[in-house]
Amino acid sequence: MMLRKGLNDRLLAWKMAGGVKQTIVEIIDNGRRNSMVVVGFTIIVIMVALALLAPWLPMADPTPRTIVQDDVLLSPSPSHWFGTDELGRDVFSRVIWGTRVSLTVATTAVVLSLMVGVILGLTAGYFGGAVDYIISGTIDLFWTFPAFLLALAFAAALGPSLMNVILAISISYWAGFARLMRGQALTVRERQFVEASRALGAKNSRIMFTHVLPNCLAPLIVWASIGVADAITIESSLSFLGVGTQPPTPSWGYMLYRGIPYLEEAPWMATFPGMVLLITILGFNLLGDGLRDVLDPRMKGLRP
Amino acid sequence: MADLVSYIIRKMMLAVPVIILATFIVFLMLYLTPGDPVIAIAPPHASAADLDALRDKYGFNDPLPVQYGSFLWRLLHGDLGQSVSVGTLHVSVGDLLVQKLPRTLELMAIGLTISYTMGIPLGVYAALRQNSWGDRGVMVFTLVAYAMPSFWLGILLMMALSVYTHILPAEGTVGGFGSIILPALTLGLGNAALTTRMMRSSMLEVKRQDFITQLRSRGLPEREVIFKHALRNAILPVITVIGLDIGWFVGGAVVVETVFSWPGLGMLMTTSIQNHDFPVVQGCILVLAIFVILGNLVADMLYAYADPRVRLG
Amino acid sequence: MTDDRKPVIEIRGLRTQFFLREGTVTALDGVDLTVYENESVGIVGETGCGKSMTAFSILRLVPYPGRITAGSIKFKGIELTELTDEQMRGIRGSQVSMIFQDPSTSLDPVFTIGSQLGEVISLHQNTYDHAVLEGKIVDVLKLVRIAAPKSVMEQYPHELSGGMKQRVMIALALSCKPSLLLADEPTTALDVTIQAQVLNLLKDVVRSVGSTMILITHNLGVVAETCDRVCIMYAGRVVEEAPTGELFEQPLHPYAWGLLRAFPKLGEQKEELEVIRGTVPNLMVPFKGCPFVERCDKAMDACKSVRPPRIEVRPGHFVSCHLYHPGGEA
Repeated sequence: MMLRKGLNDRLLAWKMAGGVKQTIVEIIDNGRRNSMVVVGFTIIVIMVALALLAPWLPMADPTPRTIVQDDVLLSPSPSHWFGTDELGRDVFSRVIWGTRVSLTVATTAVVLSLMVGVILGLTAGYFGGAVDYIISGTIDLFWTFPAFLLALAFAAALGPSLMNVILAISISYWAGFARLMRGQALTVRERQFVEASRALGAKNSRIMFTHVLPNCLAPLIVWASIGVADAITIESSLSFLGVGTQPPTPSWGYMLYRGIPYLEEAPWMATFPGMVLLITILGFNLLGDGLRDVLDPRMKGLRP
Repeated sequence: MADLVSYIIRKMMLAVPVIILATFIVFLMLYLTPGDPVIAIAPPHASAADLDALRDKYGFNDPLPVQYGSFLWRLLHGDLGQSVSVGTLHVSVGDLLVQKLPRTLELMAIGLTISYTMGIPLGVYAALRQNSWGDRGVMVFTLVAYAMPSFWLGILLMMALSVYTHILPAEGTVGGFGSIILPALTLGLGNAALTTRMMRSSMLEVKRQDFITQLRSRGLPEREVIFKHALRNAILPVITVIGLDIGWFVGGAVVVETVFSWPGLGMLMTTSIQNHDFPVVQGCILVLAIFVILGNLVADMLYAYADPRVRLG
Repeated sequence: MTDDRKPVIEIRGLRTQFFLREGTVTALDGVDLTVYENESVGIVGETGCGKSMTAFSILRLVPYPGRITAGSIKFKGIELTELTDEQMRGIRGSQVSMIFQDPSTSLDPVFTIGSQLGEVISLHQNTYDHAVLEGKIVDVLKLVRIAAPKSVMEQYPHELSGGMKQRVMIALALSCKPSLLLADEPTTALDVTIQAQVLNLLKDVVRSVGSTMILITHNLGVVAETCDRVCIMYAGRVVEEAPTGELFEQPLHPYAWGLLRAFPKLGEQKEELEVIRGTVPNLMVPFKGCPFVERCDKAMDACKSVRPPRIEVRPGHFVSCHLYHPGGEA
């Protein structure tokens, strides 16, 4: 019995590694040739690099404690590439630091949604019956409700803070992942190797994670990428309305809000954060769309 | 036709529990707030005595189900509480909502119109001219418009059409047709991108189907094959997502109204959030949620009318 | 026997090719076929041999990126390859109709049966009066032996069974009494129990309307039941053509031998099913000589380099094979 179990474990581990490696190889091989993937990936790499390197880059302090009156509302120049805002702060520096905020919030939220969604979706699809009924009902409820509104409601209720924003986005986004995983689990469950594993005595949770999951890697990656794009949009919208990242922490959404009264005299306050925001979101969208084309053109109908 | 009617009735009955669930979630929101829930609904500078009075009135010391029950009861009588913002102290939330709702509905109606009158033809055009420069242009447009958050698009449009060129007024409070255009256009363009994409891929899919070739083999002119038959089939998935679109619009309306200071529910929600006016926020969310649910219902009915295969399930 | 009947369709040297990024696929490579009035001709072959493409070529509905690149198709003397799109449209559905293989995907799902039939009838017969149109629709539904035509008219395709849908397809195709009916595997997608019914219906209806039928199938049994003459296609060419009985009794082409051997006959005792060894050639690679050369037991040197000519071995029995070349082995 012990010997058989050990063998089974090794078989399952080998199967999982095969599936994951296969998908990654496919992505790199075919993705290289897809222009959307290449452009998207480049943008993301640049943004992530900027976010990570921000503390070490030779830039002005994005959140100075005092206002230097002479510096207020300066137009772009060699010393202030993106100009300064109404409090004299260097816009370029704030935009770069804003990258950290957006990316951190977005990726954390997506990872959180993914974990919750995957576990619930797999459970629902794999076990079926009453469990599935309850979980599916919940998924449907969250799925039809507009994500932004839900996030707004939670952010408003919980009070504005970085953690709450992440939580709010996660709450509104997990349903998409759950739906995806449930669908995958339903199809894989019927397959022979799952029955074989069960016959060999593997635990249900083990089967779920080592068989079902690797086969779903492709759509998960696509949705995760588009999910980050959506999360950045939600976070910046929440910050724009004042319930997201709070000042003085630089956030693109908030910077745009502050820029509206100055659109005529200091358009750079809103324009630069807006452009960078757009490019970042575009980058993740391109990567997601491109990967979707590469990995499975049949997925085109599914919209996260 | 009979199956259509029974389908509609079934869907309407299903909507009721969803609405009830929405009220429950909105009710629960109060308990998510940090701190004592009473404070959220109390006017600023309320004394301890006032707070106690409020506690009694709303039964905060009662068990949860009882509280929910009385919440529902008040709801059915139109009592959503009172505003605690400085400017609108003690004004009934219900009154505020009724006042602002029509503005949001106007905005959404025009936005939806713009979205579909742009998106559907554009999608069809792109599908018929696949891989041409026109198609690529459309695809680029959809990519960019989809990636752009509504508030940024609004600001850009504001700059282009108002601030620098003074074609249109920027502030919604001015009233009249001119001031609704910018916010409606912002909403409409954003969703047009989604509609276009959907329409294009659906049309491409339908064009490949066997029955299209069959229709040609019957001698039907190409124009009829495409616009009478293919389009009719291709538009079905677009109708399915009308419900999701409405959801998107509601969320977008909140943001866009804030950008343009358009006096609707969205603007009300934003200012209430900033003023910590919890009863109003709750009321706004409830109304918006019900609107989304009803919108989905209408979309479902529209779809059942358009696609006879659906009525059986 | 064949010369005094009038030909409904004469195909000579038809070549249809698909221009793909990876290369050019020659789906039809010099097809010769003549079909006379009031007969049923079967076109038989494996998947990919070009039988459906012949039908599409006749109707000039070859899908992009394909095109007819050579040859002539004469329908009642009219050269179809030279007609404009509009002229072709006049012919489609009214003089030449086609029945597709899978009835589930060949009907527009969002229109009722009645409206689809009405569309075709009013288009070709200029009937716009509602009552008259309805009468014609009911008539044609009765023609295909549908029991309750008035209620079927109001129904949508998904509400009908496979057999019913195929009857509707036949009704659609014959509603304007075409001279030529192209039936592409009309019973393949149906339940075995219904196949015979629909085939018989097809035979009877075609005869009563006075049409000529080209029946495309991979099933020799169907051919034996329904067709006066048979045409065997392989890799885009016609390799043998003969009256049905004669083909089954005395097949000439090695491919025909293989096909007939592979088909188990009732009452025969067999241990294994016979197969033709090898696979269909890649149509993207142009080849000289005979396409069957790799799989043929009687292959000769000439078969690799010289295209076998079409020879009338017996009256009405044609074959394209070097075995029957008057010069003997080359």
